[in-house]
Amino acid sequence: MNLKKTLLAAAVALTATGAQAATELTVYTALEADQLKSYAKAFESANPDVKIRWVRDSTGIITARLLAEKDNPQADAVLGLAATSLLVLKGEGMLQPYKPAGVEQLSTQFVDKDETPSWIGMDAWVASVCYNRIEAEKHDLPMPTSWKDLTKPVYQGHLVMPNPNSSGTGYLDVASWLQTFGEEDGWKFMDDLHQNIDRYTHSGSKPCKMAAAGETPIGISFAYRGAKLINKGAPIDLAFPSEGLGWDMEAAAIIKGSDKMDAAKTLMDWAVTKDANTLYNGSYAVVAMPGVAKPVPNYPSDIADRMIDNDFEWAAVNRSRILKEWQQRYDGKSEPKN
Amino acid sequence: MTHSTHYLQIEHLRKSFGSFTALDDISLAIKEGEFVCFLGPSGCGKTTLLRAIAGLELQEEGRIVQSDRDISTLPPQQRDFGIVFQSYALFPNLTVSENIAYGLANMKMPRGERQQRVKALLEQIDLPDIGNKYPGQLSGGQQQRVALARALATEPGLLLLDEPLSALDARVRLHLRQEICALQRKLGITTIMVTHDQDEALTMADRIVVMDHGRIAQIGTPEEIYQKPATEFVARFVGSMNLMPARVLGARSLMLGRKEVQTPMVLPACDEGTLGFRPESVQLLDGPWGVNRDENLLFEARLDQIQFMGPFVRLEMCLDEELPCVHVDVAVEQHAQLNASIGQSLWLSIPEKDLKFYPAQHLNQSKPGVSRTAPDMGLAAMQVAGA
Amino acid sequence: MSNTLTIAARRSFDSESWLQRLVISLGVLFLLLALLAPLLTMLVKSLQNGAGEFIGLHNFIAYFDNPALTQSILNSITIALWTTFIVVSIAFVFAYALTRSGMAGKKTFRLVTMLPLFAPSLLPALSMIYLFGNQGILKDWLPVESIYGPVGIVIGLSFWAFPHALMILITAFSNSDARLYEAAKSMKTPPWRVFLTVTLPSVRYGLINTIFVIFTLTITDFGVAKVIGGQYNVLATDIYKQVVGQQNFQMGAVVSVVLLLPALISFAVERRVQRRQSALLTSRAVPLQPQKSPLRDALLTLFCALVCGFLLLVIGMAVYASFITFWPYNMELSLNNYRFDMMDGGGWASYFNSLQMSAWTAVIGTAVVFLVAYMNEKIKLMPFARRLLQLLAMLPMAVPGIVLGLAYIFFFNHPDNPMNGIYGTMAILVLNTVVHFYTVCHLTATTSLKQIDNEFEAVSASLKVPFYTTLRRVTLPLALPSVLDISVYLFVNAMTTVSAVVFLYSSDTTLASVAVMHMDEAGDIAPAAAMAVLLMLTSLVAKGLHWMISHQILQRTQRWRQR
Repeated sequence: MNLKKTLLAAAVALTATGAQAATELTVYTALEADQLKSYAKAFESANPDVKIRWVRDSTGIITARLLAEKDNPQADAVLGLAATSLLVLKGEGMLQPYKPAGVEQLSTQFVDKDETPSWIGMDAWVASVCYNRIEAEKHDLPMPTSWKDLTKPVYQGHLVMPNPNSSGTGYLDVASWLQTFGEEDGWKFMDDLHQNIDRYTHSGSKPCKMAAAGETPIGISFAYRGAKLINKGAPIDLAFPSEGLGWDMEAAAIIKGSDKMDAAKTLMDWAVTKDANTLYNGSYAVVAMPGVAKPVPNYPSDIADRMIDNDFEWAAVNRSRILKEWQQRYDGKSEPKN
Repeated sequence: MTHSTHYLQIEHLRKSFGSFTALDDISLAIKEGEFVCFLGPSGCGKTTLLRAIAGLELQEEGRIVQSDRDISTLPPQQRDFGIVFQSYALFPNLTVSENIAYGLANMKMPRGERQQRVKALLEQIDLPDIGNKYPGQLSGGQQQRVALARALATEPGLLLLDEPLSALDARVRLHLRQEICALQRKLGITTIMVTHDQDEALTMADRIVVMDHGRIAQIGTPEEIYQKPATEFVARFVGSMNLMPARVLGARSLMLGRKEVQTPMVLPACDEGTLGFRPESVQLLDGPWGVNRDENLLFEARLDQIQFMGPFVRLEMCLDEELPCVHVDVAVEQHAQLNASIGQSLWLSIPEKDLKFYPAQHLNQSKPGVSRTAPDMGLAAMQVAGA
Repeated sequence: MSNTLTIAARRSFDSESWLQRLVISLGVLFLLLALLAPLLTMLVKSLQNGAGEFIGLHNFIAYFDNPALTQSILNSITIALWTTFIVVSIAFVFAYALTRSGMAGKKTFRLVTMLPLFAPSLLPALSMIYLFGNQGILKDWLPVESIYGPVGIVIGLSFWAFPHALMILITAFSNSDARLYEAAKSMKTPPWRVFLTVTLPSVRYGLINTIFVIFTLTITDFGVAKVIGGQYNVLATDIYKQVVGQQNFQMGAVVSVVLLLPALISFAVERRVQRRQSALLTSRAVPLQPQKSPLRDALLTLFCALVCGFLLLVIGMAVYASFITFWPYNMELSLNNYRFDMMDGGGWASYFNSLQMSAWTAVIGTAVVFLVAYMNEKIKLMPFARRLLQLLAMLPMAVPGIVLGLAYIFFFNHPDNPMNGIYGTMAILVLNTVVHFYTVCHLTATTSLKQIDNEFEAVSASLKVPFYTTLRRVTLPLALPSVLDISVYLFVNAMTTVSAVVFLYSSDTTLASVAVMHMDEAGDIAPAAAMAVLLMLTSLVAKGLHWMISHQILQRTQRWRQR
């Protein structure tokens, strides 16, 4: 009959989620859902005393959550989140600097420039355009070869791209256009592009998946997703615009205030190993440790040459300004086609 | 605390619901073994008073003493009473036996003894074989008898009956009236019954407490209440009564409509009032002869309508167009002898002892803005019909 | 009043009434902490900047200066008005057909119209993609260019809101009085005039009530707009975008307050109407026996068949699509889409989490709701506290799920809140879901308790039996059918809800309904449909079990109901 007792008992029962033999490390991630298992398995077989508990969502959401939980952090570490986001977190003083054993072996551009780095890069993911042959033929759409191509009237209503507010891929596109074309021309380009966009999606994979399913003929997405879908038999080709491809790093860091610092450090140490980098190479052609990368099926071998010279500091510092501007310009329009 | 011979003593009880005064300075004493009825229209406070005695409502002021114990602030569980409601309030998912034994289970009575007691009670209410039935399988009268048995099971010192017969049809009601009375006399249990049915109160009670707007209008035996209604309200509510507005002209002179009449009694000093007499107290005469005006009120009226009522005939007589009709009840044979026809004028004579005069300030005592008797009673009737 | 207080304070010590007071107080405390405090915290947040400093109405000014955001207000109202118009019109005719016509197959029609109640609101939206999307099988039937936008939202919401409207309207039509029709007939009134002068006025309040309920439901919906809305923003999706996309919790709070307003107004009007309606009903009405009329009945049958056909089409499409290997290029049937572990949203674990969460919600929610309703209805102590309780119990109806969810983040994730330990656990999901669906459960419990004789408590007190014994032995068994109704209602809704829990799950407590949304977000529409179908099936199974259990229990323990 005692209501409170019942509730308390229930709360206790609900909160207790199994006994913990090994240290359980809460890791926030924006890795693709199909990567999580293999990453956790690889890490846990190397470090059996630490168990990873993934919290996965798309880049924007994970970043938002980390910022929201700033006063009461729930995460111990972050693995596989856009470097631009980690730079924002670093700016908020939320990252615990740590120098993983063996970090020297990574390319310097994949490591935070500080003496004791606050984050370390894992791999790079690269923008690309997914092009559905069948649907494109129906609508008589040529394969685009440059970003500028996409602003041509022929593509009106046939493009889908990720919303940079929620998607890391969306943001790297926007950031790369602003860097490649310059601020003014970059926004001008996006104004034109906006006329052709059918829809902005929440996630970076979705435009490519929509292209693969024929819901849209062309989706602006990233190369890994395209390669995976081609392997699955989707009738799509990948286009790599000639102006250069935006890219971002997936990176890892320790959250300041974690009470499982040792385990978090173990994770960082693992993230810079050769084994880990080999694993990253399963999905991405460019990884942090030089000499590890092998070609990925259906993935262009020369992708590193097509990547733009990305200024992460700029992209991170200006992130909130750019996103606000973007939202002001494009997000509210109910009917982009009008 | 003064020791008294009264079993239940109520002193200056007061209770209101928001701006509505339900009990207004109620004082009352009930003797052991007495059967008392609270009578009044709905909203008069009778049920609130019963519930205050039970501890189901908490009064704001006043004291209740039951067999020398101050129970004013005790919760119902710690008082000593059994209660029966209009709705029976039998637990529909328990059998009759389980219902009756419901309170016994708590008294740590051995199982066998409990069964004996249930059996005895069932016999007492003349329903020995229904122990295993569910309330839904019983008639209304049977259910109410079971409710009575359940209330008596724990042998309380006080039995409270809240309109116990109102939900039953007329025949069952008459039968149960007798049965409850018989049982009460046999057990000698002090009993309070709330009712809005004057017949019920008159036939069953040792004493009647007539209530009106949260106050006690009159306390008395059924005979006193019927024969000497203390207020116009009581007169109107108990039995039928001719009530006519009148202007006082002198010590023994009244203006009824446009007619001046001599009264046998001395009138109180006031301007206006109401003259009352019961339909059966009227004697009809062909002319004003042979009547002592010092002992009887005498006036002429026109016969408007004749209603056959079974054991008697009710004549509707018109004294004056401005006044309500006067009802006169005469025995069937007498009516035949009278051989009166509609439109004919007759003389009405009422003996002094049957005349009541209520000065107008009685009216002013009632709360302003609340219409009296007629609409209230209409409401009560509707509620019963609805229930 | 002060007199009452002094007497009450003087009342002798009585453990039973103190226990009752304790439970009532706990009930009030529960709703204060789990409902009012989070909402107030949110209100405060909307007046603060990112650093937590009070900045007055600055956020609101910024909000109304941003046409992109304010456009959503208009969009939300447009969607809600259209959906309300469509749903109420169709449901009106449908309810008329079910209650007043002599058409055959009423039971079947009624059963089919219940189906949407068991599906997450995302299911019709996903179905829309397969029906009218760019690869949709009925794309050519679509009168507008794209289903992604207002048209899709309105169709999806109509599917989802239809049974709610139908239920209220059927009740309204059932309450009509045959005597009025007989009177009209005896005066040789033509049917159209009977309809205008008798039928319409008799369902007037039900109709108004339905309009407001549907308006509230649709203006606050999150799931449908999220999936099929395309670039058409509504208030509920704006909250989500502000919070998860832009980390702008303050603006999320502002939009929440904006969304709360129409919902609260509509709720207040609906309550007023309801109060007047109950005063209008007379107990002596004679139920109307529907008459046969071949032409009218045939037309109504056709109408109902079309509506049911549409409902079945939407559900069938989702089921069918969930088995297609790779729409539209590989139409082979397979179970590939049910391999959730390779997808976003937590995989099969989220399905089992949902089961667990729903079970807890059903058990704890039913216990809390029933106990609170019992105290409120049957115990006459603490009148002020009980009035507050009643008010708080009605409030959740007006609070959109997504607003409640956001309010929970603000309140329960605050570092100074001693209860912040439940943040990220199953407990917060259960708590949130119980509160989110509190009102309907409370009303159900209250209605059934009102039908139980109010004097049982008085009788037990006179027999010196403690109230909890009577609660256990009498009241609870009598109310058992509605207790079971409440638990299955909570289970089904906990299974299918998205909006309230979308901010509150953690990686250990991912939920299937949220997984549907995440899979759709990631572009995995077929697996999303598969999970939605799975949720619907689970809910249907739960309902079936509920039916069987109720049947069994009623047979066994409620023999007294048979005369």
